[in-house]
Amino acid sequence: MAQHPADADQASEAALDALAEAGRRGACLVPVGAGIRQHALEAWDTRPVVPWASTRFQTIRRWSVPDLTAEVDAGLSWGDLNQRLAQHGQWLPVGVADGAPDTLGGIVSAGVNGVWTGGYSPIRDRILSMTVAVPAFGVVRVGAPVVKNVAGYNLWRLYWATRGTFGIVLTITWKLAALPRATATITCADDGPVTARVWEAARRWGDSLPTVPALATLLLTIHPSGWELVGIAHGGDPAMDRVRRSLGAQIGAGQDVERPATLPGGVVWQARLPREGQRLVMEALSRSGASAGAELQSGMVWGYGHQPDGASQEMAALVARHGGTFRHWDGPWRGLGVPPAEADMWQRLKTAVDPQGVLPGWRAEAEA
Amino acid sequence: MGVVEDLRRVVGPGSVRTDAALLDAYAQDAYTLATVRPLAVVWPASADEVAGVVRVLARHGVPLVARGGGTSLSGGSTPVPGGVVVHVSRLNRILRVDPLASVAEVEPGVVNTWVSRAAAAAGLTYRPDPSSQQACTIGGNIAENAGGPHCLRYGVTLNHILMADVVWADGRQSRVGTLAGDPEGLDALSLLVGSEGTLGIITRAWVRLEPVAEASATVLAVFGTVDEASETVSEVIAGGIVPAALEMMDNLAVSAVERGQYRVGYPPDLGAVLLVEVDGLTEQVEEDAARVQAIAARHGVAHLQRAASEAERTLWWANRKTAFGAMGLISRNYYVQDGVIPRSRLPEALRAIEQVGRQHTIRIANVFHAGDGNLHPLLLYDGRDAGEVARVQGAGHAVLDVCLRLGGTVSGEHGIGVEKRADLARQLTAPEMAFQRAVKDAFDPMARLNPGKIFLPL
Amino acid sequence: MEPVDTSACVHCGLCLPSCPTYLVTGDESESPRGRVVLLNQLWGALAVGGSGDPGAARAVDSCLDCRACEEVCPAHVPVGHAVEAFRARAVQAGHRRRPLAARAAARYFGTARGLRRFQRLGQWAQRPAGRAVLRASGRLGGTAGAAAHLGTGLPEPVGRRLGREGIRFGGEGPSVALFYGCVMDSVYQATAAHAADLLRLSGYRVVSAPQQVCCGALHTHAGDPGQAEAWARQNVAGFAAAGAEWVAVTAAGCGAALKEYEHLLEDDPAHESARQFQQTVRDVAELVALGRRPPLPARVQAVTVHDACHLAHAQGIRQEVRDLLRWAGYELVELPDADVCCGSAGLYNLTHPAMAAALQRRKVNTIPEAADVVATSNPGCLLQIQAGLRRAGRTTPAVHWVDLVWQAASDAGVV
Repeated sequence: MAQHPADADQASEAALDALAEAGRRGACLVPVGAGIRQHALEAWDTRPVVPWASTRFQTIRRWSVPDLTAEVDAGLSWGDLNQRLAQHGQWLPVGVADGAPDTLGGIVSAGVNGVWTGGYSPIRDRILSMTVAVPAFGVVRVGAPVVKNVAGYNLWRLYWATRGTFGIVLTITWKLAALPRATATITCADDGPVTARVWEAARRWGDSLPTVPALATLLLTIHPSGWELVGIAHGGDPAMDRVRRSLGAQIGAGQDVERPATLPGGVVWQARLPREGQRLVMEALSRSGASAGAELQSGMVWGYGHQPDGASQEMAALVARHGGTFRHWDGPWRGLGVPPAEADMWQRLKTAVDPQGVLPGWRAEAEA
Repeated sequence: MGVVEDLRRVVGPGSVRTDAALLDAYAQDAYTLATVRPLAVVWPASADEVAGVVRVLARHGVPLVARGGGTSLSGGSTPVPGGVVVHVSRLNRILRVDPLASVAEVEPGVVNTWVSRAAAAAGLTYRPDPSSQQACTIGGNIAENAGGPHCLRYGVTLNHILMADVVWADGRQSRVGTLAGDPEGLDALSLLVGSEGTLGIITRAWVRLEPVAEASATVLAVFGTVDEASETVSEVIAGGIVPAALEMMDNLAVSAVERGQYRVGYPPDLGAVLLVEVDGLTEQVEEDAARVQAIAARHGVAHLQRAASEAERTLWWANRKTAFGAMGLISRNYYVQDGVIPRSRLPEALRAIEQVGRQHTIRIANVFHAGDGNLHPLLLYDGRDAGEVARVQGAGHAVLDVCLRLGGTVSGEHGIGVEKRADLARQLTAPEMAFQRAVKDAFDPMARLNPGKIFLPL
Repeated sequence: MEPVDTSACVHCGLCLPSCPTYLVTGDESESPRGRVVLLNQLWGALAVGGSGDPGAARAVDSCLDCRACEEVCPAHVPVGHAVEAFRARAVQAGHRRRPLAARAAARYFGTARGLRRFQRLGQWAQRPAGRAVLRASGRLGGTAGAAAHLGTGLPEPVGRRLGREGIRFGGEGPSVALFYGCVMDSVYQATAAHAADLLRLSGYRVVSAPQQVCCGALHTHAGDPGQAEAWARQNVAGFAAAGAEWVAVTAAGCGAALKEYEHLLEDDPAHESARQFQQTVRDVAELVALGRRPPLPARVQAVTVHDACHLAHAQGIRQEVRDLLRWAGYELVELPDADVCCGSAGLYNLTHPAMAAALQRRKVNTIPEAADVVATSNPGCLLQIQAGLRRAGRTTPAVHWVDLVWQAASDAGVV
């Protein structure tokens, strides 16, 4: 039988203790990272809520430099991780959109995607494996710490954006990337709402770089008085020269303004949309004078709660109309959606994994 | 009323077949160490017919396996004893290619290459390219989470399926995933991909298409020894280059494909050949190709060549992708393994596998996705020799032991099927196995869908 | 007749989507991999004196012998040949009748006199009385109905002499003799003369080879290798007497058969001369593509190419035909699945009318509206596709590519 290093370590023991304790008290254990994307704890459940503070554990468990993989505690922030990885020229291309110091466990549990989603794939696709504490099974490894694996069901994906429903994430094994050898940054901005000109510029930038991904990020920011488009490419020097040359020749493009690719702090909702839906949502937001950001290659959109209450609910409806998915980090937790045809199956799984209901649950959708 | 009559009522009398002789054609997939003649074969013509078939079989307590191209290498589509084969070969329409959204909507029986062919006019392609792509189907690719050479850079099937329609074990249907590419709520799609037909049957899928890069370079590097080639692989990966594909074949494998349909003209005395493809912007491709060539040169490459034309590139790939089938030219039977190791451990893994071959007196050819650390040792044997069959199975497990010892996994892309059930149980701890079983029990409590796959009977 | 060795099949399944009958039925027992399994089962039954499962025999017999699977098989398992061998054995053992159509073929195609009779049948089919009979029997279904339907694919009008009578011999360069073929000779008469003109244009000397007979392909496919062997010996001797460096063929089916004479006459005293003969056989496209090509002006017609199975799969010839049509100034329109069988397959459309009709519909449905002409290189395909187009109410003609290229050369005054 395989032995995993997490089997007997401190974090595992602490997590198992916390699960047992919550069970004894009839409480609900909710994982909390940096607390940035956290809903009010009392809104989770009618039972007493006990936080699981993942930030107690912040080490890199294993880093195989030649394999570009690293197993990391869920409590470590993405910024700290990248600082450490830089010493061997590597990084985890996260880049939380508003630059906040989210923990890696929090990114997973809240389903956060960053500005590099277009260029380096969604964060979820960089997860190879996790160790998780599960009430029914103890500390188990899901996935495998190699870059390809189809041995059994993709259990690690149960932990993406489910906020501890199936267990507490303890460590995550990531597929890393090499730091870019060079970068090129192109910007383009204007006053007023986003118009066809934005999409035209984005399209031309994409067309002049026919490859996947064309850019590491193609970030559109809108604010009440105007918009800005930032394209950042990663690669070798000759390719970066080409990017500057060809994009620089496009309409209104400024060259090589070194700038970080982030939005202002305080993002409270995130959506992902099909291409056309993203355009319509950004135009609607821009017309209403809202602030938001979008990564145009991946369909990601990030927004702010400019209305005190119910803003995200309104946004959820807008996003759904355009075929997108929506996550909000303000107001009360509205739970996870489960289609009626799947409700029995998910409930059986939940019961098998968490027989006492120590972890957060969900509210089933009404039968249509 | 018998089960066959009830099935005929769902799909029509012409779409159920029970004649024993013909059922032998369905007794195996591409994994030939298991043979099970099914009770019947059914060809549903719509998602509703699939659901109807599932309900009829549930009522009669008859298990089923859904089948696409029947190219599984782990017995994923081998019939289950006393069960029915639900062959989705007639659900083979490409319903829509949407260039703006870069999505194709297809039925499960659509062959992998058909999708890229249909998308080519829009300058798009479907990336996952299992070597059986000329015959394997999208439904089967989803069930097995198929990989392929170009998954090194572009990801496996799991990363390319946006949404799917599914028939569950009780005959209910739902749509899982979203066109946006991010899950909403509980994510059944991620469980279905790679579930080997044990959780539900896919009746329609929306797959992600991607633009074809403006440039690519394919480099062929011939080495005198396997060690030199595998050290080159490790240095390419460690150097942060992400090739589109990075493949290796050793001497024995090359000797088979060179007798096959697509001959490259490799020197007969080579130790190993690497096929490295980089793609992207022209300038980046030039830089990466030059770096790859320099690394190969540092490791004593004997012959280095860049594809001069698309025809040459196509030939090299056809040569590589028909390697499994070509084993028939040097051996009566072959048994392909599919383990993964951390890619930095390639040299020692290959040495250990060579030793396994010696210990079990089995010839082993290697054809594999070196960049992923996804090994495919091809164990050659004669199926008429019972002793050799036993030895080859022992050698297969020994190869997987090597992978596990190096911190890897027992399947990178072929699945567990019937073949690796014992190996999976060795890779996972008892609680981890229990967690896996909990999913099966939750989604298919009566064990109707492809039972006996992934898990050994308790 | 011994079984053909298919033991190199490792059951990988790469052949399935290349198989036209599998594409239509989705049934693995009607796929190459399935047929290999069933053939083993059937030979096993024959070995112990049985006749094998009739259903399995039917599934094997529904093979078109199009060779598409052999082309894509990584271990080139000869499934088509294995099916032929089984058919022959089954006929030999009396488990299977020589098909009616094969007997008819022997009657018509063995001699020039027979061909003239066949030609008169075609002419009759185009007279009012004949048309009425065809219309009536077309509704019958079965082989008679299928034959009647095929009659509607004949070029109009069917001429009054054989193709061989119109050939102009001579020219400068390596010598080449034309293989006349049966249906090409009697129904598509102009093509032989056109092929000869193109060969002379591209730098060959066309010589006569009067002592030739049918290639025997139809008989081999139908399980009557005895007749095929007899004719093969005649052809080998006849062409040796003519002494040409090359033998040029306009019918893909004949070309593929002639290129396999060595195999057909394996245990025959004529084996060595068959081997030498086989090496001289070329499709007209191969020879013309290698020759001189004076520039020709662009034309307005758009052509789509259907790859005849026995040209594409059996002989590996695809590009030459397209190159030559482009040279002749035609615009090429892509035909999806250009190399999937049209259902003609020798006598298959008479022996398996339902499957042949399904494949014919498939083929006709894929022919793009943008194409003014469908070009191909086998008489069976010409008949089958033309009949299918007419049935679908389309006026698009199906024409041998040789005739199209010749027309361009003729309009330009170079032939």
